[in-house]
Amino acid sequence: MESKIEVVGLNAGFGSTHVLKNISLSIPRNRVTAIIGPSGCGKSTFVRCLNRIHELVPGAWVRGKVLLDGKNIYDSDADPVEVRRRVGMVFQKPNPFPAMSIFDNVAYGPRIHGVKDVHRVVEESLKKAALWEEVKHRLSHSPVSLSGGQQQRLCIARALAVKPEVILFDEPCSALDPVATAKIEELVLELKENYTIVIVTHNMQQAARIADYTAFFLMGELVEFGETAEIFENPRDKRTEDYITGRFG
Amino acid sequence: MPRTPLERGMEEIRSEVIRLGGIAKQAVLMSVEALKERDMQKAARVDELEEESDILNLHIDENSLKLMALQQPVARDLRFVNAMIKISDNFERIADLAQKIAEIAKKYEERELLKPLIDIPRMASTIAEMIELDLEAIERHVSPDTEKLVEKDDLLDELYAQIYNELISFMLRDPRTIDDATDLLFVARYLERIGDIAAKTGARVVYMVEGRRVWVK
Ligand SMILES: Nc1ncnc2c1ncn2[C@@H]1O[C@H](COP(=O)(O)OP(=O)(O)O)[C@@H](O)[C@H]1O
Ligand SMILES: [Mg+2]
Repeated sequence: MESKIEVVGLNAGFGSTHVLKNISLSIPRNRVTAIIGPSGCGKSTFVRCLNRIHELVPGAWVRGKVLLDGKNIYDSDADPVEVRRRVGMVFQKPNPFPAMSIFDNVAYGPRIHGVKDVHRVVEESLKKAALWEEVKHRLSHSPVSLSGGQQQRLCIARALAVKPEVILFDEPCSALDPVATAKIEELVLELKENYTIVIVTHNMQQAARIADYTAFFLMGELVEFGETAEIFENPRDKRTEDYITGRFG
Repeated sequence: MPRTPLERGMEEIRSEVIRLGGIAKQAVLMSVEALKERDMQKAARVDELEEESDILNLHIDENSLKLMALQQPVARDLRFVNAMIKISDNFERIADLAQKIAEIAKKYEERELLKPLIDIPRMASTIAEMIELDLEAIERHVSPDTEKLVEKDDLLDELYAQIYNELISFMLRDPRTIDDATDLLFVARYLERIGDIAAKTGARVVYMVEGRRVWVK
């Protein structure tokens, strides 16, 4: 297993709150890695440290290393804007820009990065996000008219448009119905051919269905990390077992 | 009192498997008694037990699949349900083999056995002890004493080898004994197989409880 991201001794928090405690973890290239754990254990904080958006919250701090292809994204010469381009993110609630057209939502990133052939990139990204057929005749419409699942795929297209290498998903299906959820899951499985995927989910079955590797977090610590099948059949740590079997607390 | 539908379903399956194990054990003891005593009623009773075991095994299988589909057990719960399906098959297979022994017993309604049975009943009681070890472990959800299981399984192998040698010498001395000697040889062979299955069942319980693979053979 070749790793895309190597997290070494990562600590993070907000002011005096110490959220992530000494996390070390390898995220394999072209694989889906799921992050599971109870609410408030630091899953979102963790993925936000992987593309340097955690630090955008006032008072937030990070210590430790996150090596992207071997290079620490927290080095003083690393460009956070470039890190965020290479490591894209899709959030829990679909958050398209409502005042922009569907087209402009996807074109936004490429334009900022000075991409020439924006039309082609938008079409490609919408196709990769399995949304093209559904929106190609109404690209100038507002995304507000789309269903929740379509809006989420639009956000995925928007993330893909800047040609990232890693995509972070933070509970991308929690606002979606089962059909829309199945589409996103299918899409994630397709995307891993070309991208490295990290997905935070509170849905155990979703992790079991789509992730190759699973990490279990508890109160800011990494309790267990391993192949998903192993975690769900035979976890090594009693706390993991209690959590995934719903016997927690 | 179990709390969740999953736990309730698991307890139901557990008690059915324990009942099936009891049936398998009884079938083995009964089949050897049927042979030793040339008791046709006991042989017929083994047929009934075998049929019961088939039905119960099927029921356990259906219940387990339903539980997996509806409750999606993971980790120790998943290992439990998977183990119950396998162990249930094992017990059903033991009852099948016992029935084969009963079939042989039925040939002796009107005639004497080649020799009085001593080691074969010993094999049967050893098997009964092994199945009891398995069942107690399943009941209490702990690993069985695998050393004891291996010890008993070794004893069965020894007894089988002993019986084999004894019967071969019968056949060599007097070829007219071949038919009857072969019958007893088959019985011993079936019992030796049953011992393997009982030992493997114990290993399956260890995996179910501890998630650790052990080899008993
Ligand atoms: N902006 C913030 N300021 C202060 N504390 C925060 C902030 N965001 C999250 N936290 C705290 O950090 C901890 C981890 O949060 P988070 O990473 O969102 O957990 P998860 O995604 O696993 O639910 C929680 O205790 C939460 O209250
Ligand atoms: Mg979160």
